[in-house]
Amino acid sequence: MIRFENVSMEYRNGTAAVNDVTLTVEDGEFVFLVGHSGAGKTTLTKLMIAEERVSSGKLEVNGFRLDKIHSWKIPALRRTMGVVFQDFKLFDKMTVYENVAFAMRVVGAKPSVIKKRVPFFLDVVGLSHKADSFPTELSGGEKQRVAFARALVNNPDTVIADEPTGNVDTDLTEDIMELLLKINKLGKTVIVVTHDMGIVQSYRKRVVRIENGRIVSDKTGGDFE
Amino acid sequence: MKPSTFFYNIRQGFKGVFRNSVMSTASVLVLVACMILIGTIYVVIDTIDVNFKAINDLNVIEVRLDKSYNDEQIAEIGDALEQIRKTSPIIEKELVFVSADEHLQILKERFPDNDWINGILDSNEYNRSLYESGELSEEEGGSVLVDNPLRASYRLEFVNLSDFDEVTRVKSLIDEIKLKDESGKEFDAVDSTNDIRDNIELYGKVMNVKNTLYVAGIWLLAIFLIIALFVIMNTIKLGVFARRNEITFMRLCGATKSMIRMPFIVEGVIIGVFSAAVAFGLEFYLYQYLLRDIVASATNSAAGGGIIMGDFSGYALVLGLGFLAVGLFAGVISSSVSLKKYLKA
Ligand SMILES: Nc1ncnc2c1ncn2[C@@H]1O[C@H](COP(=O)(O)OP(=O)(O)OP(=O)(O)O)[C@@H](O)[C@H]1O
Ligand SMILES: [Mg+2]
Repeated sequence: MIRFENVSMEYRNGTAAVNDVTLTVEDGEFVFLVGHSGAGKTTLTKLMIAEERVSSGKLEVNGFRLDKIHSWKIPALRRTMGVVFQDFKLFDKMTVYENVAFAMRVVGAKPSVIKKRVPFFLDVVGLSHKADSFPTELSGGEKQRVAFARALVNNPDTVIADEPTGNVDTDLTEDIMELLLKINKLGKTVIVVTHDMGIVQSYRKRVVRIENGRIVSDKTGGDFE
Repeated sequence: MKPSTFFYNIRQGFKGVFRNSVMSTASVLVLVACMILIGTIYVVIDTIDVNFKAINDLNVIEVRLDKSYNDEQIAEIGDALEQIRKTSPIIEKELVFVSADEHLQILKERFPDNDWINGILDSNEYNRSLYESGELSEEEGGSVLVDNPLRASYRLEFVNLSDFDEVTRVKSLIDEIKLKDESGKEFDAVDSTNDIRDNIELYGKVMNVKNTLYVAGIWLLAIFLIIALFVIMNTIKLGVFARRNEITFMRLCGATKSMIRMPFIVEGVIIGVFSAAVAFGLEFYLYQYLLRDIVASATNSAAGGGIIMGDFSGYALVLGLGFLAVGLFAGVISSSVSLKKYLKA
């Protein structure tokens, strides 16, 4: 479960990116986080993985109180989260396979487990044939899917996808959304950050809209124009 | 840590060393220089210590007694010396009397092949047997038996020779000891130039050399160690910088600090251990084939025997462990410091 209670957050340069946000996402929910560019969507996801700390308010994520978490507990929190970063954060010197395997390596997974899970998730995102390619040799959509495989490979409880359809055409957008729904059906909480109102409309899920760091609406299944 | 993780980190550490081969080489060179310096100063100081013990009379004042003194007079001088000993805080040990025969034995032990000493010992032995079998009269035998040119002496051993004024005071007191002749007239029992023997000035000089070496050694060691730390730190910082994105991602993935740190620590440890091995080999060569030869050729010509220098095997354990400790210390410290900035939350 993710619970924001009157959370505000200010970057070190003084930008107030999140203002008095109160929001609860139950386990197993599927939530769209929408808002114009610069509204504070990415910042909210950063707060959820403790990449940034809240300035005030109470924040609980998957059983961790992030407003007062000890830094040594943060790795445990992050292992419950799988994030598809807006900028992918792929490594150009590693192949697609190695990029995905790296995420498992760094949390101490066994080589035998890595050998089984990486091909499986590359298959899930439809990139088995690109396993030995380097990110520089991939299209935007393909990079995105590598980032997906990497977010899923450690079997997180919560998956956060920051603009997962930003670089892909309509067909791929549908594939990716199908994938996210499948993940959600497996019982995982899914948070999708997007400004693509088209998909938001067609899937009729819970939609949280933020503007200037504030939640301005929180509806399920309605009309969002 | 799982074995697979352990080996992964070892591999990553080696990759790190080779990724940055120029800087790694520089680190090894500085660290080796640092170790050789420590090692050489250590063996030189130890050699001084060993040779000190070999010439153990350096801190002794020896009062030689005139051959004409009888037992009573010798005892009287002993009492006077005992009084002086009690007044001086830097003489701790008991006053020791060494007879002329004992001196001869000590010399015999030190120079077993010396003809002169052996000649005296043999003739004494021969005369004693003649005397014991009755072939020599008591008078004749007695006179032959004291045919020992050495003199009996008292020895005062100092514990702390840094106080030269006190040593001088003790010497002048000894100089003033008087005995009385048959007519009751006082005369000097000890003549400061002929009867007092000491190596205290030499002792002071050697001490000075040793202290200078200690101080210089510690300074050089500190400076070199700082340079070594600085170079290794920069080597690892370059590696950290090259992989800063990976480190950021690792953190966001939930990698623990130790997992992130490990490859870099391994990198530092590899540099440290490798340097220790190189330094050990070089030090061995330096000591066994250079230092010992130089000292041997320099002292062979000088009278009084050469400087004792043990085999390198005597230093192998201490130097091996010492180098390893310095290497590990430098490696671990510098990689920990280099990473600090990237490990915040
Ligand atoms: N590291 C940072 N330091 C200072 N200010 C920042 C930082 N990152 C973002 N901001 C500011 O915080 C606000 C919210 O940014 P955020 O990245 O959360 O927006 P967003 O909703 O994700 O936008 P987009 O749809 O363009 O990705 C913006 O005004 C942005 O300029
Ligand atoms: Mg964003």
